[in-house]
Amino acid sequence: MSSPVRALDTDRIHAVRRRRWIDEPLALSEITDDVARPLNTWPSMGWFAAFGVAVTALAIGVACVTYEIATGIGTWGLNRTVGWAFDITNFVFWIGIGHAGTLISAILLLFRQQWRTSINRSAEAMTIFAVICAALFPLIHMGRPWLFYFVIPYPNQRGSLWPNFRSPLLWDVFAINTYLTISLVFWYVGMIPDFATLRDRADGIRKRIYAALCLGWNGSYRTWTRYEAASLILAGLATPLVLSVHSIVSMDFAVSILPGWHTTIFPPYFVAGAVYSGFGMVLTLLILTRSLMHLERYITIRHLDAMAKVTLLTGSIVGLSYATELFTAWFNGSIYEKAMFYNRATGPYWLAFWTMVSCNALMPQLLWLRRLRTSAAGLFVLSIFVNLGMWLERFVIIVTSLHRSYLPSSWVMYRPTFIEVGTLIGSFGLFFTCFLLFIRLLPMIAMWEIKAGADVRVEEAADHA
Amino acid sequence: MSTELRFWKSIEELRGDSASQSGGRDCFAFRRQSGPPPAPSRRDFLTLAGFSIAAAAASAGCSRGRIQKAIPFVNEPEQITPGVPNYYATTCGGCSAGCSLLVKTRDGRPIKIEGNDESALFGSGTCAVGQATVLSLYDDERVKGPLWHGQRASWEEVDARVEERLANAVANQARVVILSRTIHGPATRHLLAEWTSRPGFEHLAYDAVSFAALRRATMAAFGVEGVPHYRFARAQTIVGIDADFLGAWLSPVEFTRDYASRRRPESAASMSRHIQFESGVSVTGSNADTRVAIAPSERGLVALGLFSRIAEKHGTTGLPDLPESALDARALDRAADELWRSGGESLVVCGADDVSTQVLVHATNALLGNIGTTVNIDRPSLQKQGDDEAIARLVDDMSAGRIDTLILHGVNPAYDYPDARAFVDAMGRVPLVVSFADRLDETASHAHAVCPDHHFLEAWGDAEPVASAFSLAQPTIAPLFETRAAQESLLKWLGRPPDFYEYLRAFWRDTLYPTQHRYATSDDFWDHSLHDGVFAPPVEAAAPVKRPDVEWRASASAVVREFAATASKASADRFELHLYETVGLRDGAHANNPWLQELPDPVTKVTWANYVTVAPAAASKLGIETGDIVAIQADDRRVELPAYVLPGQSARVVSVALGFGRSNAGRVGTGVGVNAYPFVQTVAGQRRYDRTGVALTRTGRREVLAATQTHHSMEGRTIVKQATLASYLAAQETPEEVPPSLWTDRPRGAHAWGMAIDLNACTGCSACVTACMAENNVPIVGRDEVRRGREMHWIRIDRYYAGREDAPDMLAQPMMCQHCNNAPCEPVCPVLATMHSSDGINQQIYNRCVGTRYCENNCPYKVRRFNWFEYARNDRFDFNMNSPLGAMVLNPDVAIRSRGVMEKCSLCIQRIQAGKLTAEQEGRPVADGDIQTACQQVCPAQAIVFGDLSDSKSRVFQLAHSRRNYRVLDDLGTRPNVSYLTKVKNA
Amino acid sequence: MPREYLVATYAEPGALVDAVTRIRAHGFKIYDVYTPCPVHGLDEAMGLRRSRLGYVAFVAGALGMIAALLFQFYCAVWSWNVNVGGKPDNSTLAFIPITFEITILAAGLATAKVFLARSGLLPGATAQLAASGVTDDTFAIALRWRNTVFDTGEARRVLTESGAIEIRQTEMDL
Repeated sequence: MSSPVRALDTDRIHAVRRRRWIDEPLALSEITDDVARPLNTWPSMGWFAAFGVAVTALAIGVACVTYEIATGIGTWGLNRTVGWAFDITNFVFWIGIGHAGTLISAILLLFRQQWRTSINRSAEAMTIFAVICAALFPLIHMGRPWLFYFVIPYPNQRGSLWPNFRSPLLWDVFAINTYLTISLVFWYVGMIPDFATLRDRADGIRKRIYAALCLGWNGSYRTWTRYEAASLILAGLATPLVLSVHSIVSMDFAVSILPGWHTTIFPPYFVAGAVYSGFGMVLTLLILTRSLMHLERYITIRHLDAMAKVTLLTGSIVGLSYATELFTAWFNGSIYEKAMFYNRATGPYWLAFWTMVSCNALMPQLLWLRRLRTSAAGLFVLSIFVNLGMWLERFVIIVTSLHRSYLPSSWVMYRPTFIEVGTLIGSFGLFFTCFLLFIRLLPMIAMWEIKAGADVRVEEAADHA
Repeated sequence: MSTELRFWKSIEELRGDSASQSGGRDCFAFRRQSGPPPAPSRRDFLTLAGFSIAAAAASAGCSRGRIQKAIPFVNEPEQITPGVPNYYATTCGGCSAGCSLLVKTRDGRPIKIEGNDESALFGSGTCAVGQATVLSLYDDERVKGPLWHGQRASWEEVDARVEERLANAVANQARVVILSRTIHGPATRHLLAEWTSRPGFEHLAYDAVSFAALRRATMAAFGVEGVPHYRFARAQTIVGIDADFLGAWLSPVEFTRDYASRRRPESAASMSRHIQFESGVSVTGSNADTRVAIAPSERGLVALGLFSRIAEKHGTTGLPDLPESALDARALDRAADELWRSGGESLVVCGADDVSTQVLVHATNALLGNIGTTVNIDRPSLQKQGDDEAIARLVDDMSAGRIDTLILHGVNPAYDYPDARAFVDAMGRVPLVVSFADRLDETASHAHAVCPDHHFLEAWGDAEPVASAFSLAQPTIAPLFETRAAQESLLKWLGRPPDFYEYLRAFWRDTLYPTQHRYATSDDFWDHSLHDGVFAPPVEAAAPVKRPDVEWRASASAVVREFAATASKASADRFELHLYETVGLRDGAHANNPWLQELPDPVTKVTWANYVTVAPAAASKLGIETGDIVAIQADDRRVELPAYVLPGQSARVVSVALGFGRSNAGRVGTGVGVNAYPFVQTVAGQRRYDRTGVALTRTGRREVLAATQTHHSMEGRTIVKQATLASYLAAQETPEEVPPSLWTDRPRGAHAWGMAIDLNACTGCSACVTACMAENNVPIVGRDEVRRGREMHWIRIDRYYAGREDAPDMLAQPMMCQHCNNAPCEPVCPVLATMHSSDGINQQIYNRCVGTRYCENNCPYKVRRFNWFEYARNDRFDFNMNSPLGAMVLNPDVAIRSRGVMEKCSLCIQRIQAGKLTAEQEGRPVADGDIQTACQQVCPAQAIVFGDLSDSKSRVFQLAHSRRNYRVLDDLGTRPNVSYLTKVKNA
Repeated sequence: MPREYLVATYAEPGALVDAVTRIRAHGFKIYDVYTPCPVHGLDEAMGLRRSRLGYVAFVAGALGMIAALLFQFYCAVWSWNVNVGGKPDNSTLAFIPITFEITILAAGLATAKVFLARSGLLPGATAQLAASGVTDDTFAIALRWRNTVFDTGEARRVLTESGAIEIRQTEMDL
């Protein structure tokens, strides 16, 4: 009498059969136990070692930034011709890292990519930490950071006094803040059910904390339906957002008149690059954590394989962009453009350029090999090169365009100082400190999503039916 | 109060207005109040007031909530309106050229040097050194009072000891010698004459860079005492032989002014032709139509070559045949033809330190009929009176103990005498050495008594740089320290009342007043002369053109002989050393002046050091690059200097700048560079600033030179436009069309300020750079920061080479904010800290700037400057802005920028505002020329013109619409308000 | 305020969906279902309406967009129209990026807020679980007890048939 239901059941079963991302069958409680375990046990030596390193790096960064703000931007290697270098390079680099997180959690959700469930939580976390690192740099790169609030259009008594809405830097301010806010909301909402789960297995102070965090979630299905709707909407909003954010970041350059910056290809080029570098970082992180936290059961080789494929795709797009840029430089007949790219490839920064090309355009092509895509170690090494390559890409774009522009009379060289390097190290320190704390304090895998996707008892259900 | 201001501006007012006249009187009266110990006088008071105001200014931009002492006027001093500048005419003491100046004082502080329009010789222009002298006034390193054996003493004490010594010198007929810099002030010379009238009392003039050979030759050729007065404005053809007359030679401001007046292609017929034979690469050479690289040893041959060719054309016989040499005979032919063609309107000038060579040059000029036209010997220049042989004798006498007392005035032989050691030893044998030096320099530190002279801005004086072209010098501030004018010391020791003001005034009354008929009373005469700053007695009819018969044979053979001698010693691996003065430091007297130390050399763009320039060919042969430290060995003299590979330099010659390597200059100047004076040699009694047989060896060490420009090729971009006169004349009218813009033009305001820079007039002398520093409180950042590419100059002179490496075209281009109408820097600023005024000025708003530096990145001209550090009140930058005294030079109309903000050329917005206000007060529109930017005002060549582009009658409008006009990087659509006039050279 | 409920728990989603269908087929009204994770097809089975959050997002976004655009226009054209690099006051194109960001921000925040409010997920809210483990591995159906129209036997029968592990009749505050 309820045949439609059955039919629907079997559909679902087959559907679930078709995409199996977690190998052995699992009891739901097993999932809860596995994910919650790190939150209840004392961290391993490995974790402490990693945390120690991260905090040291962070300390170095704090020292450098303090010194810089106390003394002046002069503590960096910049000069009258090169006004940006490490600062903005790091900014774009970190923003880019962030994008993979949003991509995994939002876009793959829209595309109903089951495999994202194991990694989206940590990917989102990565996004947030990366964006925080990124937001740091526009702030400290100012000559007078204590006046940062000048960029905010607040009502004031200085007569008419507003920021310049034509400036891409102001666009940045809005883009980054929106991006950070939306990512946080998305992340938090995603964790509410898991907080409830944790609440119900914890006791004492922890129970109270989780209880507060889950806002009284009781698993009501009416809530679940709204919940899924809300997630989809947020995902739907985050998707164009992530594209817009990096487009705007790219406009920091594209809007200028500088050869090597003034290019319409930048928005798509930067977005692809961002996703590429982001997936590089996701690989780095997850390959580490899955072994560190013994989560091989949830983050399987197939997950890595899938991410590797995305990396290959975006890497190829980046390669294509490089080619396009060079072609237009040669083709458009502007002597400035030509000279700029010639200098980029053969000038004093040639090494950075060619390292960038090989890391971002050539190396990803190795991912056509299945053996590499399915080897955690191999992917880890590659992901490091991806990160390096993408950092260099921003460095090359910024510095080589600036140091030799229109008037040869003001051509100069740029050399970073220790303070700048220290600040970069510090940003990594901040990032990893946050991430390591995250994997100890919050469920780094979305339990409810795994449960929803897990195919254990469903099979039995099929037989039973 | 503005009447006082007008008192200094216009005679008519002076006539009618008794109040201002009393004011005028008073400005002479204050002098009586000076002298130790200074009674509290108005000017002392102002010194304090100005002092604290400056301190306030110094910290205005840079510190929050710092408490400043500000001393209010208890009773308002007459003459001074707070905030309104007073201008005093005086005479520059920067070098012996004695340019006439107008000194801008604010609240009793001289803060800016400007040229004096009234001067027929110099006009409104000044040079980099002249601009910087105002900073030397506020130099912490000055001696603050009389010293006896290095200890502070009272004037009475020092006077007593000196007078006692002089007394028994007189008693036992001992010799008392004043060794002074060249003094051409008639009153002072009169005083010296009185001095030397005493038995045993003598006076010798000493020039760090000697012109003795030229003087001697002039005497030999024309029987005239002095240096000929060259008139470049009258010359159709100019041939220079190692005379950097546009840079540092004799009277560069006057020469630049005259030279530039004949370099306007608009009047093509009268545009002069200039051929330069030179050993190094000088400002002058880089402006020449034809530049021929020679070696110092060939100067004689060039002179002889020119002479014999001219003589041949003239029909003289018995000419010697020239020895074989590497000289380009065709260049000589061309030069000779040119000279001959423009007969009496030609000019040959030569910087050689060899009498015979100079005689030949005189002979050439005589044959060409230039005497009386371009070479004036009736009224010669009175600069450079030093006599090398006399100095040499003096040193011998001193070491032989034949000198009882030596008085040093404005000289520093312990630094710049070729054999300084010998001079110091000799000084040790003199019982009493008195120095008038303003600081404990190399020489004064060996003197028994130091009786510090005033800075020239604190002192009365007069000058006569060219015979019967007089100028007066008056104090612009009360003496800052317990100093006393040198003349007053001398008067005191002569037992006369130590009051040089009275002496000076009396002298002018008795000697000069009678020579004119314009003014009835001597007071009237004095007031006007003092107001104008200059006085020239009415000239009788111009001297007739003479063709004096100069005896040249001996000189010719001497030149041939000497060349043969050097040629025989020459070897392939040896170089000739050429010593020269730089535009910034000259002979080194101003070494402690940070403005001059950080002034990029017009040729190499290097700051804060000297170096040895080597031709590219020679460099590659030796395997050295710019920055490699090389050892220079000449006989027993050896120094180590970084090399600078310089296109255009003769491959056989290396050049080193004098004026560096001071050991007692002061905090700023001590130990900058290496002293090259020891290389000076004495030949036939004349000091010679070159040497043969010099060896260069690599030391393997390197040093990064602090250059503000390291890339000198235009990379095929049209940045500096250059054309030949022929092509310019042939070209059709082609007005620069402005590329289209996406946006419709915005409504314009009352004015459209703009600037036009004539690249033909600009010589690259860099006076404008210093003027801008003085006017706009541009911070000095020091050598390391310049190395890092962080110099703060608002205006720079870009230098490009074109053509062949061994004989390149050299182009100079003043580059400052172009004030684009579609400025790329403006839209990218997130906080609108830079925006466009309705008058077309690209404004920078310091207190709004948060320092993102995007504007700097997006400026295609790279003219924006970022405050990387706190440059004022910061011990890391221990220059004038770090000391309360040094801060007194700051212009109160311009804010000190704080750390972290962007700054750049404002087209001297404060001057524009002042001009507008004056016009408004007088109820008239701003007239063209009312407002002059600092760089325009200072330019001796008048290459820079500022004005209102919306006024079709303004000069800048005319230039902006002239055929030569173009805008740099116009194809970017930036629409600059600053435009340039194509450089046009004779082919 | 506490009420009487009949709560049946299940160990796996399939059975739950079955049960829900059956019970509703028998005309019982389901008060609510409690699950540790979303269960495919359950909403159809429960016959839940499609959420209207989408409209919220749209309206909020639209408002955000208009506000952002107007504000920038006000600042740059009315309040303070200065000459910035010769660009026109109303450089609308340049205002788009910020407008876009504000749109997203408004929509996103509104959605999240409304969702939480509507679902009673508020700071300090406490939850009573229908059955232990509904946030872990247990699925529960709750029927509201009304002695007027409620045949307990029938209800229990249907629930047992649908494979309920345990059936409790308790008073609680869901």
